[in-house]
Order: sequence, then C-alpha cells, then structure tokens
Amino acid sequence: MVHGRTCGVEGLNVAERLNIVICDDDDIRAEDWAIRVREQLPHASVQSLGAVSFARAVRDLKQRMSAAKAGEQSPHDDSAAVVDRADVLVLDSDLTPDRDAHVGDDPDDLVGTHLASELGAEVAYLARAYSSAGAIVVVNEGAKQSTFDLTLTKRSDGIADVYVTDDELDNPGLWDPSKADEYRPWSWPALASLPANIEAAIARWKLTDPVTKAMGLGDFSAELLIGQIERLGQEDADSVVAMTFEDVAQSTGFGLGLRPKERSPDAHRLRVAVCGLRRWLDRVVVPEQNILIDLPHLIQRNPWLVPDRAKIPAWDALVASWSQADPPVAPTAFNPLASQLLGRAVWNARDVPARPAGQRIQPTDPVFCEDTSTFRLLEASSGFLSDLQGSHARRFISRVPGVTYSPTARLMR
Amino acid sequence: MTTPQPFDSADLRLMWRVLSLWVGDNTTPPASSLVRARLLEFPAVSGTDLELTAPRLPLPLTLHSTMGWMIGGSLPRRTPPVVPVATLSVGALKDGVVQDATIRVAFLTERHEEGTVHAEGWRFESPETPTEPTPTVPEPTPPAHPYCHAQAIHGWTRDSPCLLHPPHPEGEHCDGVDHGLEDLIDRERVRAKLATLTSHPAFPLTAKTLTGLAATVVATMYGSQPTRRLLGDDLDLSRVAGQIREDLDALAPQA
Repeated sequence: MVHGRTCGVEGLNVAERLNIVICDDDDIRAEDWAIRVREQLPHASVQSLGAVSFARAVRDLKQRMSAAKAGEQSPHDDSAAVVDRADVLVLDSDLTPDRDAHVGDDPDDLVGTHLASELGAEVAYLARAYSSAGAIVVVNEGAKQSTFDLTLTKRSDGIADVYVTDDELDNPGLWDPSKADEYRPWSWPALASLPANIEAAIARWKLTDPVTKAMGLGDFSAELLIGQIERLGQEDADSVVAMTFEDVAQSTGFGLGLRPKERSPDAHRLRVAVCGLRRWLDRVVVPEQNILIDLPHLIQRNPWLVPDRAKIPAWDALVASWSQADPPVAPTAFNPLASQLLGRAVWNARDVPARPAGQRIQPTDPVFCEDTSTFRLLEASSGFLSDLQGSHARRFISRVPGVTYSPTARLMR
Repeated sequence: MTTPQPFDSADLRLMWRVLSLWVGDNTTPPASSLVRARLLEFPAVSGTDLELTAPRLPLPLTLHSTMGWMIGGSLPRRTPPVVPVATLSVGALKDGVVQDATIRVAFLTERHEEGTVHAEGWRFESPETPTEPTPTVPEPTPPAHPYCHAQAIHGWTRDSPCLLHPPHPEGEHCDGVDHGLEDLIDRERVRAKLATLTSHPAFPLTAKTLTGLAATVVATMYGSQPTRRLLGDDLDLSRVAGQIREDLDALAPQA
C-alpha cells in the first residue's frame, strides 16, 4: 500500500508495487480489464474484485456512511477494507448487471441489493468519503469508446480523478505519460504516480491549514473568476482564499458536503479535502491560466522561453517531462507546492516574466494539441472553443483517427 | 505554411475571430439606463456565436438580421459613457474571394438633459470595385475609393428599425434627429445634422484585409494599446503571416 511509500516520488518509474483494484458487476469484464492493466504495469498488483465481493464492499461503505452521519464511528476491518487498500480504484460506470453478466454465486443477492441501479459515480463518492482509497477511476461514464470532450468541462465536477473508456484503460499514456503513443489527453493525470502525490499532500497538511498555504500563492482573490468561486461552493473570492482544508471537505463543490458532526476520522476528511482541492485546481483553476498555468500553455503563450524554439520536437521534449520539482523554464515563477499537489508542473501566472523587448509570437511557433499532448503547427491542427472561462477557451487538437470528438459544434471552421 | 490572402476564406475566418474577441471582451452593461433600455430592442450576438456559428453562415449575409447586433464595451474616458453597437454586411464569395464587407457602428450615448439617446454613426468599408459596364456606360467606372475607408452615416433604416431613433418607421428616411420630441428639437442641431456629409470625406484606412478592417474598427474605438491587449495574445492572430500581419502590426505595433 502506498502509505508506506516514500512520499514525493519524482519521475514515473514507480518502484514499489501499486495496488490496483478493479470493480465491476461483471466478473469476466473485470478480469479482462485486470489483464490489460497488468500488461501496462507488470510490477503492480492488479486485482479484479468479483461482483459479489464488490457488492459486499459497497454494502459496508454504505454502512460506514450511515454510521458517520449518525455521529458514530464504524470499524474499518470490514469488507470495504479492500477499497481502503487500493492505490488505484477502478469502477465501471453502470453497475446494473446485464442479463448475461457473470456475477458468480450470490445466494444473498448482494449484487441485486447493492449494485443494481448503482452508478460508478455513486460508489466513487462512497469510496472517496468513507475509505482511504488513493486515486479513483470511473470507466465508461457517458461513452464506451474513446471520446474527446471538446468542452473540456464535462466531467470537471465529477468525484473520480479521471474518467476513461474501456479502450482507454490500457492506454500506456494514461498510467505513464512518457509512454504515450498517439492519443493522450493532457487532462489525464499521470495515474501511476497520482496516489503518491495524494499521500504526500496528506502527510504534509492538516485540516486546519489554509489552502492558500498549500497552493503557495498568498492572496489570489483578485484573480479568481466567478466560475472558479462558484464551483467551490463559495460566495465570493475572499471566502475562497480564507478556506481551510476542513472547509474544502465540508464544501458542496469539490468537497463532499461532509457535515461537521460526521464522525469521519480526520485522516479521511483530510483525504477528501486534498483530493477535492487537487481536482478543483486541476480542472477549474489551471485550465483558465489566470492564477496557475501549466507547462505547455505557458510556452505556447511565451514561445521565447523554449530553447531551440524553431524545432517542434524541442517543444514536445519540454512537455514530456512531468517533473514537479525541476522547472525547465521560468524558475522564478515556478510553484513547487502546487505542482506537487497537482502531480504536474505549474507556474504562478502573475510571476511569469514579461515578454522581452523585441520578442513576439511567430507564425512558425506551434500550438498545443490537447488530445495528444504534443505541439503542431497551427495549420496542422484543428481549433475548438471549449467551455472554459476566461481568455483561453480557444484550444487545439490534432484529431486522432478512431477517436470521437464531441460536441462537433465546438469545432472551429 | 499557407498564408491567408486578402479577402479569402481564411481572412474571413480571422475577421470573425477579431469581432468575437471584441464582443466577448465586453462583460460590463452600459452605465446609462436610457442606453440600456434602447439596447433591449436590439438582440446582442455573443462572442461564442461569432466564433462558432457565424463562420458557417452562407454568404452574402447581414449579421443583425441573422444573429443580432455586436455590442462592444464603452469607449474609454468618455462621460457620459458611449456604447458602440455594430452590424456587419458581407458580400458573396466569388472564386474564393469575398466581394465586399461593411461594418456599421453606431455610438450611443445618453443626452441626459433631453432624456433621450443620441447617436453618431460610421461605416467602415472594404475597397470599392469598378462598376459593371451598362448599356449606357459601357466602360467600367473606376471606383472613388479603391481602398478600405470610413465614412459618416447619420441614419440607419435599411433592413432594420432605426438604430439611431426608433420613432422612425422602418424604411423611412432618417435625418438623425428624434422627431418624437418635436417641442425639444434644437433647430441649430438639425441644421448641423443635415450638413453632415455621408459620402465625403471618405477617410482611407491602412487595412488591406478583412481582418485588418475589423481590427481597425476596434482600434478606432479603443486605441492601440487596448487593441494589442485584446488581439495580440490570441493564438491565431499572433501566428498569422502576410498582409494580415502587416495590417495588425500597423494598428498595434509590438514594443
């Protein structure tokens, strides 16, 4: 279990064994997924939880929830302990068994009682709030084959750390960006190292710590956009800046609306808060580029920062490094604390050096393609208008064959 | 790398981009309640629609009759606030080239002492082309303004209610004066308005492209620095080469 792992792991050569638990209402599909993930991560422990065992775990997560809401504490050596031990928890979206699903022997109809009509998103909520699972993945929510969301916001309120489709689960780039082949959305986290990032943040911060301290930013209230405030369930910018991790855990935005009198252990509340803050930053703050900005968008807007600027492979090489401690450009603006929390390098937008005199963007400077996480010349890419707030809603893709891009109305002519 | 040519479809697409950035940048409602009330009569087009929908519209088109009016941010340092409202007419695409384009802008401001809205209008046009031969004039006539140019307008009744003075029925000639307030008309001002020349002078503009024409409209309203801030960081506009680049640099030179 990653809890015993050295925190702040750099790079993506994960030496220790990740414990990956795959849950579905169909035993055969779960095992198929497990086989495919093992091929990508031969050193990981990959376990497919049979439908009945999964139903038992969901039952006990619900019991933990009931106990917490009644102000009681429940033992955690129940059937949901398998979820506690998961560094990465993979959940199918639709947990109602098909007619021909392989459920296994279920004399107490646990599957019918606790899985049927449940959604992976609901189990993700239970796992996030009432277990110590690491990263959470939901598979096949809204789409069953590779679909790139041109709004860039469709799942941004979702509680899972990443949403993928069946055919993306064994995309090597999902687990390790350095192994990306062609299709590798920039919005995906580096999944194999995400659990360690979460644990490092949990070890570093307390519930009473202000989130601004975790972001290493000071007062950024003047820069917040309305959507960034509202998505965190806050009234105004000042209340965002004043939030503690406890406030995030209790918020209805990216927290889980945990009531103060819920008797969840502090460690669970902190985990909820850390994961929620990470998701808010990753999905709502960084994409808007007004407070924090990540590497590809930083160099796209400031191409003079790129050594060997005339060669597109030099741009790709810069972005291929997911180091969170060693900034390849603009070191004075680099934000190590936020980078470690996010698991991707980010810079403070306000500290990015001004454009040097005589420098400008050139027609030969490439643009960043959000679907492949690579750079291409403007005319070799396709523009789209996302739903992001602020001045940087305009983005680009390369259009990988076999991938659906939706909704097509967002594509620029 | 393909460089957009003046008035081709790539130039047209970037023109929409400029206009969408201008409209999208305006999030502040007009300060004047009278102007706000006037604008309620004119549905506004969003920056998103200019970005995504407008480029798909077939040509020729008149923007306000298909999608709405472009309402921009108040002009700087003007009291009372002056609000620009614009529409766009684009001619047919022939052999891959847009035949003509006109951006019409009305500047609305409250005339507080009269309790009315005052408006001045300008049009920004693409170069005129030689007139087609006719039986009586077999030779094509050279255009008076073979360059992008700007001219005043004092009325606006074509194809819409009068933007300047609603009391005028649609199609009726407008002299730029609100005759609904007959008792309050400033006769001197009426005479001054009648003296406004709408064909001359025609001010030549440096723009040679559709994108440059749209950027010129923005620059005339807000000046060079705000124009550079609005357009300079745009992913497409910052990477364009050729005549469009020259047009943009002439308006908002990089330091």
